[in-house]
This record gives sequence, C-alpha cells and structure tokens, in this order.
Amino acid sequence: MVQSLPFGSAYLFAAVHQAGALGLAVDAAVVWLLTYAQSVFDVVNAGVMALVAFTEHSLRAPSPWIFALIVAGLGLWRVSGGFALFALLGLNLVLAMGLWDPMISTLALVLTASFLALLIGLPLGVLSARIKPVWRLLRPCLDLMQTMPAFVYLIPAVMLFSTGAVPAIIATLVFSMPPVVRLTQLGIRQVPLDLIEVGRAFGCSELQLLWKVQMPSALPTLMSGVNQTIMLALSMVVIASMIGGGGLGDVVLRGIQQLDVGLGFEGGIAVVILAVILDRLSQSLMLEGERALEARSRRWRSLWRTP
Amino acid sequence: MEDTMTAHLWRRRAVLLSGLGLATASLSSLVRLSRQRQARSTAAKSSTQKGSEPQSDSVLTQSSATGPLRLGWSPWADAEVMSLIAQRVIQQAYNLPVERVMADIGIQYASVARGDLDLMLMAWLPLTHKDYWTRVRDRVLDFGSMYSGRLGWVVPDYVDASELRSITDLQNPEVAARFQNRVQGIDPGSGLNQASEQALVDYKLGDMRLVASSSAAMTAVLDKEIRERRWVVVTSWTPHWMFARYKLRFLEDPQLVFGGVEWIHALGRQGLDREYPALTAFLSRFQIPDRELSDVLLMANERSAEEAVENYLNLHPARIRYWTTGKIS
Repeated sequence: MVQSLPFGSAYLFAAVHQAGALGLAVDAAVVWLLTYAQSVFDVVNAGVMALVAFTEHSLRAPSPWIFALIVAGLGLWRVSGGFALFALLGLNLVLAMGLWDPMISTLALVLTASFLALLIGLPLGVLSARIKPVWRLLRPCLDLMQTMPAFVYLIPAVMLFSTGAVPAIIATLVFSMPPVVRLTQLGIRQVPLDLIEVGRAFGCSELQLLWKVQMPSALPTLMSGVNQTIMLALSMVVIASMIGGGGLGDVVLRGIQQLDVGLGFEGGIAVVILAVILDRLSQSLMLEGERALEARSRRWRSLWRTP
Repeated sequence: MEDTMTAHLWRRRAVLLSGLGLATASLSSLVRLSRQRQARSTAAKSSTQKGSEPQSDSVLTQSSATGPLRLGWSPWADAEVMSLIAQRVIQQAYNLPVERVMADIGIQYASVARGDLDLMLMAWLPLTHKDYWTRVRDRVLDFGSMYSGRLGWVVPDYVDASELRSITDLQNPEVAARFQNRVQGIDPGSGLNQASEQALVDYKLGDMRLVASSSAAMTAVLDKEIRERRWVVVTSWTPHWMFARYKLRFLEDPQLVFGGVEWIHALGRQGLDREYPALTAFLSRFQIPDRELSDVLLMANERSAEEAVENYLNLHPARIRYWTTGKIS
C-alpha cells in the first residue's frame, strides 16, 4: 500500500513508464542482461550464496560467550585493555537485547561483501597506480559508484539476483569498493621517488619493486582504505534490508516504519557496537607497529611492586 | 612526594581492578545469557507446538522448490501480523517451513511475478496498487481478499466536525489556514500519495500543499501535532495502529478519489496451486474480520507482534480450524 521508493520504471514490465530516454535505455540494458546473461548471474549467485552461508555458519558455530571472549582476547592483544572491556560489555548488551542473531547475520554480510570488495579492489588499485589509462578509465566509474544514491543499486540488484542475501551483498560491494581502489592507488603513487631509485639501483624487477618497495611503503594508506571499505559496507548492509538483506537492518527498518523509537534505537546501538569493534580490530590487525602487549603487561605487573 | 606516588599507584590499581571486575561480571552475564539462549532454542526444536522460528530469519535463503516457502512482507504493522499468522498456521497445519523475507512492496510484486517469492499478503486492490497489479496480473495467482482497508485523509477527532466533515470543506481558505495549508503525505510515488495529488486537483484545493515524506515521518508528525492539540491533516489508511492509539476520523470523500473500500489480497507465484493444493485452499479461506484485526494490531503495538499473534491463535481455534480444513464446527 505504501512503497518506500519511487520505483517508476524499475520493472521488467514495460507498461507504465515514468522514466525518460536515458532511464529507458538503462531499463533495456537490464532486460538484455536478464535475457542473455542469466546463466552468468546464476553462477555468481550460487558462488556468493555459498560464501555467505559458510561465513554465517562458522560465525554461528561458537556460543555467544565464546565468541565475545575471542573478540575481547583479540582486542586485548592488538588494541588495548579498555577496548577489550568495551567489546565484552557491548556484545553483552547486544545479547541482552536479544539481537545476537541479527547481529551475526549482518556481520556475515559485511565480512563477505568486504572480502569480495578487497578481492576486486586491491588489484584494481595496483593496476591503476601503475598503468595510467586504467586509472583514467576507472576514476569516473568510481565517482559514479560513490555518489549514485545508494537506493538506486537496490533495484537492478533485485532484478538480477532476486531478493535475499546475494543482492544485498552485490549492492554493498558496489558501494564499498571505491575507497580501497582509491587509497591503494594513492598509497602506491605516493611512494617517494628515491626509494624507487634505490630499488632500481639494487636491480629489482618490476614485480619485486611492487612487492618489496612500493607495497610496504604504501601499507598504512592501503590499510585505511581497507578499513573504510569495511565501514561503508556496514552502513550499506543496513540499507540493504529493503531488499531482504535481513539482520540488524530489519530491526532498524521495522522500528522506523512503525515509529517504535525504542526498537529502532536498540537496532542502531547494536550497529554502532558492531561498527566500533570492526573498526578498531580492522585497523589494528593489519598495521605494523602493534601496541606491544609485552610492555603493557609489564606495566600492569609493576603496579603491584611496592616502591 | 612519596604520598603522591602511592596515591597515583593506587588510583592506577583501582582502575585496573575495576576493569577486571567489570570484565568478569560481563563475562558471567554473557555465559548466563548464552545458556538461556541455548535452552530456548533446544526447547523450540523439541516441542512441535512451537512452529515459530527465532525472531530474525537467517540470511541463508535459497529460492528453490525444495527450500522453505518464501513469504514476502513489508514492515507495516498489519503486514507483520498477517505474515506471522500465515507463517504459524502453514507451519503447524501443513508442516511446511515458511521463511519471511522483508522487502519493499514494489520488489515483492516483481519477485512474486518472477517466482523468487512464493507468496505475498499485501496486495491492495483494486485501486492502491493498480500500477503494480496491471503489470503482474497475468503472471501471479490471486487468492482473494483477507480483510478490507480504507485510504484517505485523516484528522484528529478534536478537529471540529461542524467546520470540517469532508475534503470539500478544505476549499474554505480559513479552514485551510488552520492546517498551515499542509497535507502531510507519505512516500513519494506510493499509491496513497498519488491519489492525494489527484485529490488536490479534483477538489480544487489550490492553496493546499502535499508534503511527501515517509509513512514513519507521517505518524511522527501526527503524534507531535496531537500532543500540542493542533489541527493536522495526514494521508493514512486502515488497518493501522494509529487508529488504536489516537482518536481519529477520515474526512469524507464525496468524489471517491480514494476509491472507497480497498481489499487486501494474498498473491502467489504461478505453479504454487499445483505444488501445494492444500495451501491454496487455506489461502482462499484465509479471512480475518476487521474488528479482530484491529484488536491484534493494538496488542502488537503495545506489546509485540509475536505475542499478539500467539494470543490471537489461542483465542480463535475454531477460526483457524475453518481456515485449514474448511469445516465449520
């Protein structure tokens, strides 16, 4: 009775059109894809489905308290004691609110989508840093992916992959890939020339130059790209509940639609907790220069010695 | 010097110890909650009475003939309740697992037509969803209506009925000014919003503006204005929980722009009747009196949809028996 989006022409039925010529062309393109490339989409569909099913299954395997303990342990090792405590309390709150299952669903979607985004985005970033024309071609595409309103992806995603986890992941993938491509390209471009000179002077091949000189030097920039991708994926996964993505997005959407401020807020808080945990862990797990656990434990021990 | 040193040390120790204490408390609470959850899920599995799944459906959905029935729903109060009732009844009476897939209404029409979704319960016919219906009509099964609804413009009951009885009365500029010349609409492009645009034209309400937003924002505006007892017109529909929460009334619609009574139909994908003949019989008998539905909606709004549905199914065993067997006891 109400629809959340003006889905003017986003249908396979060319009956009532509100779109202009460009819109009609896009419509036609999607219909063409559906007619001639359905088998390709079916393969992608099955592959992504298997990946997300596996991810979700393995995330669900441990009991919640074991899961929380693992997260807190990782936090203690790589981030800080305060963060470990936050992770424990946050996950405790999520479990107490009864939102554990949707949180795991959302986490599975985010991890799958981010993994695919990195799988595609990192090589593209490297290529565009080293080959000018690729970058010239990619840049407008990235602009388009980042600035096209997120809702717009939902429609073709549904037409090509029906409803459920797969179109949610595909839409999320499109939305969250640009930062990793951009920041990889930037990081590699910013490697100081004298470093490259040194590499060349030692007789590096192009591949060695990439692996042993450019990559390590670009790593911090590259990792902030990875982190951004994960965070963007999380924000899109919530929107993707409009097409049956499920998880915390469902909780938030239900709260919004029914003016149930409490429910929407609970879902929102769960998203925030998940976001903070993902952010800190993804930042720390990949960077060099881990905060030394050794030094911290020594500090704690020194507290108990009488001066 | 010595004193400040030890004080500092003790403060550090206190912080560390309280942190550890908090962590231990949190961990024990986590363990306790996990145990409870474990117990609940095993209990749900063992008892056949409990056909309901955990609150959130997992993302592991596979649209195949062997998988569970996929039932589309939108996050409206009536859709949530009806889809829960259908899910429970189908699972208990026919032993078919049912998975609820939340999606936008437009997506649901497209998906049922393509066969990705097996069922949807929220087809507003003949007028509200006319656009969608004309496009999918020959590719879906219509199982008939379940309850009736009405669309239109709604005002709080404290708005003076002598001054404002029908939409025609809004032609009076003084009355329109009491509403700041605004009609609070819902999502742009929705059937109700398009009908409201038409109403502005047909009733020659040139001074009034329709403010598009979303259904949630519409209810929020209504709530705020009622708290301050101001005059407000919103575009709305029944069945909706807001009629249980506030005293409201529809403005009369002499030109029938909003088409009088609407019927809410259940639609299914083609071939469903051949694969599950019993299910077809149930869906065509699946009807719920408006009084009963508004009671369920009120309870769903005050407590939770699950509780309200549970309560309804326990209160009306004869009706459920009629739906599933066709026998009137």
